[in-house]
Amino acid sequence: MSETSEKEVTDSLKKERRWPAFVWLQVGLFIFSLGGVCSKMAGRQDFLSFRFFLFYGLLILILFIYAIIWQQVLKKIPLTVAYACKGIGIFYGILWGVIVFGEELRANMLIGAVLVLIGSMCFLMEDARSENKEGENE
Amino acid sequence: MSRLTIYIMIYLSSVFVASISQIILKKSAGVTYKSWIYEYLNIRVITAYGLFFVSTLLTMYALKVVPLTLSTLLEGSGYIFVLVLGYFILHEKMTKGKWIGSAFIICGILVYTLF
Repeated sequence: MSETSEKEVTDSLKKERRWPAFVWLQVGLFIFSLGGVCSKMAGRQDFLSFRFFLFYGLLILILFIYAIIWQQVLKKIPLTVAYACKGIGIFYGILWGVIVFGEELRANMLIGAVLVLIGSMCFLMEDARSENKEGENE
Repeated sequence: MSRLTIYIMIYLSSVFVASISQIILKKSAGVTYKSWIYEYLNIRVITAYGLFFVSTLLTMYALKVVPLTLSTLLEGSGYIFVLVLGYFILHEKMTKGKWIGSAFIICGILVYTLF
């Protein structure tokens, strides 16, 4: 087997091992988006009431689970790629706002969301570029 | 100032507090400690998590009025806060790409709120 094909095999193996991490990342982001729902629900309750603690407790639990998944996922996926996937959270916010809280949905909201998403991608691309430069310098 | 604007300000201040927390954690990551336990039990990390806790309370309070559909867009301001704080505290570079990104994020929030 030539050197190139060996490299191809190891690369494809690496890719194979990566996909469960991407699935976990999506699971984590989905759970994390529910944190927003809990936070809004908690804000609607009387301060320090039972239901307040219930929803706030759920929020803290969600943040804890998300932090564990995030840490594990970062062992397999580069930070900038993981951050790029986080962009989906913007649309989860819109989805839950409309479905759970009956908030209105207008075209300008979606345009705004896309603009914020593009903006966050600009940041990630810059980070990825500076990481590559550091790598080259090393 | 409308009630929504005031609560949007509260939400943005919550993101700002979370950004300060992130900067403190970043500063703390560069320090070497005697034992792994001190990586968590030191004044910087505890302050950072304390601020993060304050941020969750502020977010919750702001969400009394701020729609959930808008909240995730407002989270985008965190990139700008971290950029500015990183520049002044960690002396990180402000690049053209990040300025463009900031402009997009601000435009996105304005397109949502003003139209």
